[in-house]
Amino acid sequence: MLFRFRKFQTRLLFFLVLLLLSLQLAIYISVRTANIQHAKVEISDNLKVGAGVFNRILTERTQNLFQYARLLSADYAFKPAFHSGDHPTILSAMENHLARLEGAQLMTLVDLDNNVIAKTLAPLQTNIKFVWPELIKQAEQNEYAEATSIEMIGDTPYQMIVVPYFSPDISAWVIIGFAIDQSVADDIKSVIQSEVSFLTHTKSNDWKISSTTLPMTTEDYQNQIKHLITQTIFDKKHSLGSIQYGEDELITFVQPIDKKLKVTALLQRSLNKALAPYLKLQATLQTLFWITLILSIALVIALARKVTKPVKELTKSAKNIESGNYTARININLKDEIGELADSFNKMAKGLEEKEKVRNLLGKVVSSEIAEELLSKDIELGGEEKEATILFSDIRQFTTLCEGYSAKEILNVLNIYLTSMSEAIENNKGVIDKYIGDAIMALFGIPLSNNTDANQSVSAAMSMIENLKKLTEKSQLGQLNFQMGIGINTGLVVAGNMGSPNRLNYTVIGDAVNLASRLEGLTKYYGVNIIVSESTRNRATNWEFLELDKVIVKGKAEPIIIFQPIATKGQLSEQQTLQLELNRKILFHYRNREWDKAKEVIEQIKLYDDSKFGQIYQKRVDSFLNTPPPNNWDFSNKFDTK
Amino acid sequence: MIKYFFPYLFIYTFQFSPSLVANDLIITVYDQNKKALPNTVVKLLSNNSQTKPQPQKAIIDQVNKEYVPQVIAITQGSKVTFPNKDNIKHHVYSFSDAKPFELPLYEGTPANPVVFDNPGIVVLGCNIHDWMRGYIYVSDSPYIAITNESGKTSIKNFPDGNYQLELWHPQIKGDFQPVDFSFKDKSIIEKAISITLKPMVKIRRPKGRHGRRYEE
Ligand SMILES: [Cu+2]
Repeated sequence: MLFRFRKFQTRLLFFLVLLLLSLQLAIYISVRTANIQHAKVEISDNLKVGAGVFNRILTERTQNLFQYARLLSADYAFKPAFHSGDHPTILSAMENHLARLEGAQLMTLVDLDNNVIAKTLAPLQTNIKFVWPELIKQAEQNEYAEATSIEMIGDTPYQMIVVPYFSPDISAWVIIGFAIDQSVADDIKSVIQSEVSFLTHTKSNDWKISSTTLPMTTEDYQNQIKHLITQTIFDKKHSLGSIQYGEDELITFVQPIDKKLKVTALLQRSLNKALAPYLKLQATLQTLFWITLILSIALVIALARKVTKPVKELTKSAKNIESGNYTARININLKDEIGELADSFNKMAKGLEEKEKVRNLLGKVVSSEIAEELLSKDIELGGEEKEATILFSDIRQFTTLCEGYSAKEILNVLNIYLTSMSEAIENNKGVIDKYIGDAIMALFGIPLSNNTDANQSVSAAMSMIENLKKLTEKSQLGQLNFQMGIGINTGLVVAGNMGSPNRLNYTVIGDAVNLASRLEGLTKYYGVNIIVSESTRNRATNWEFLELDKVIVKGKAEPIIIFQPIATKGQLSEQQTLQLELNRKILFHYRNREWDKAKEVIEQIKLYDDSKFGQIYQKRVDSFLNTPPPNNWDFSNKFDTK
Repeated sequence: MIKYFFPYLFIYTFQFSPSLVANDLIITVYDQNKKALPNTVVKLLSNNSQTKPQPQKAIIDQVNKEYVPQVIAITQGSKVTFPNKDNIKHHVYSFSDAKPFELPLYEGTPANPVVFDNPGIVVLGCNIHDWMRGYIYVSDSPYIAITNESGKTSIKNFPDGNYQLELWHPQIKGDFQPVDFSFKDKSIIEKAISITLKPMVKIRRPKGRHGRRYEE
């Protein structure tokens, strides 16, 4: 398909117009062809008849000349003049005869030795030879000693006749001629109603128009007729041809006039003239065509509207649904296929609306990602082991802080707080697993695994701290001044639906989850907002961390190193850089049992660090100064409380 | 050629000749198609003898709008009458150099015959009948004859001597080349000669009658 039309109406129009056009064109062409064919046949017939008449006219003219010449040659009154031998008398008598003969232009008297006795075209010339002795020789072969031929005088062809002059036996030859010129052409045209042209064969084997009834001839036209004549004469077949004449086409009949082919006549008729009645019909056809076209277009538009209107409504409603508006309905009262389609559509929209309601509710109860996960699969108990990052956050001393406030006030503040926190988490592709009072458990890399879950979890935690700061600054949490802690850990968890078949919960469980919770619990001890495990720190490559400690949390045997994220990678402030350096020195000296050196650095770090880090290590160093650690000291600090 | 010219004047007669010696010439004339040719004038012209031709009388009738006979040969000075046997008038004329004359429309026999003094060929026409054509051969020699339907004729009882034989026919093509003959001691010479004729030119004549052929 070459063309593509976006609109049904356009397509319908296109095909209709195409159909109409081709139909009209077919009619037009066939009618035109038939008419032209017919006109050509008619013209050809006319021309053939015309050629007969033409020949007859020329023959009659010639015969008239013969008749008259015979009268002259037997004219008794002329005989004494002839025998007087007196040139002026003979010439005068001849001129007298010529004047009686309409249509003839010349008369010549030639003696039996081919000497001109007198010549009307050259009255003063004597003692000259006759220029066409062949004409007389031809006459001598004839039983009546008469002959005719075409001879050229200048560019004009002349029909010449010769008869013997009897006095009483043949004493001389009488030659009379008439010009085959414009007046002859005009004359014949008036009889046969065709254009008449005379062409003469030049010495350079070319054909030249000597006279024509056509108003003008172009070089192209002349070349065409030369070609046609040449073909006619040498093929002896096509005496009929078609010649382009300006806008017109002339059906041309080639009629050689003499046997020697010195002069040829062309009889021509205009095809356009013959087609004139047909052109009228053509104009009517054209008008009819336009009317049909306009009516059809109007009909098509009306029809297309009728079809496309419900389709457009359907499309509009479908677009509404696409953009999430499931309440759209179509109001079409049609009993046809489109009506059925509208009904089905409405039912579908209703189904979608209900489903969306469920989905929305689900998205509110669980996170939208989990909702998707739940909706996309058959819900069944059980889970799968996945690697994920778990974030725990909590407000420190929330219960204590709430004393003196009404439950409603607390719930209000809590909702503002949780909304803000949830936003920070969700903005970083985290999934809220559950709210536990003021605490939040969030998952990264669940249900959909990705490689940036650790980085995102740190980002979320940083945002949460930032958000809390803003909330506090804007006093949106009333007079309450919250301190929050966040623990983050990355590890293997089991994710899936847990609970009973009737009531289940998509969540994660495992050691990694517990560790995240424990790390949150350590924030208060270290006086920091965020603590991440070594595994999270290793994967959160976009961030800069301070190492806090090596700890053994409650319920665990193995020590783990814990960190505090401080800045985005490569964006450490001067103070943070210094802090990081001091932190490393403290840990280095501490772990090398260089207590004094450690103490020195601890004094310095207190200037830059508002955490309890320096405090904690000073205590330990002081304690180790008294009681040094055992030989198998692994630098770890064991916690027995939650 | 119409303007045929005879330089010598002789006369021939079928009557008893004063000459003591008598030779005969028997001649048959054919055309180029070996067809016997009537109406051919045969003339013997003596190279030495100056026998003067005797004038005589001849008649050319006009019967059924034709000259009858069509060709006659006469000696110089002869008189010819033109009796009209038709019940219409005729207008006899000649523009020939040898004897231009006319007998305007007349019927019956004209009172005076026409005298032909000069040798030559006189072509007769009729002003009102284009096809009517008659020929009078006016001879300067007495020894003349005209071939019959068999193309045959004879000249008899002429004296010994050297002669030129000349032939003439209304249709003859070009000039006849004279043939030399020598006659001596009652010689009888038989001779067949063929001459070339021009094609006949038709002349239109009212329907129902036969057009007559003629030549220039
Ligand atoms: Cu007559």
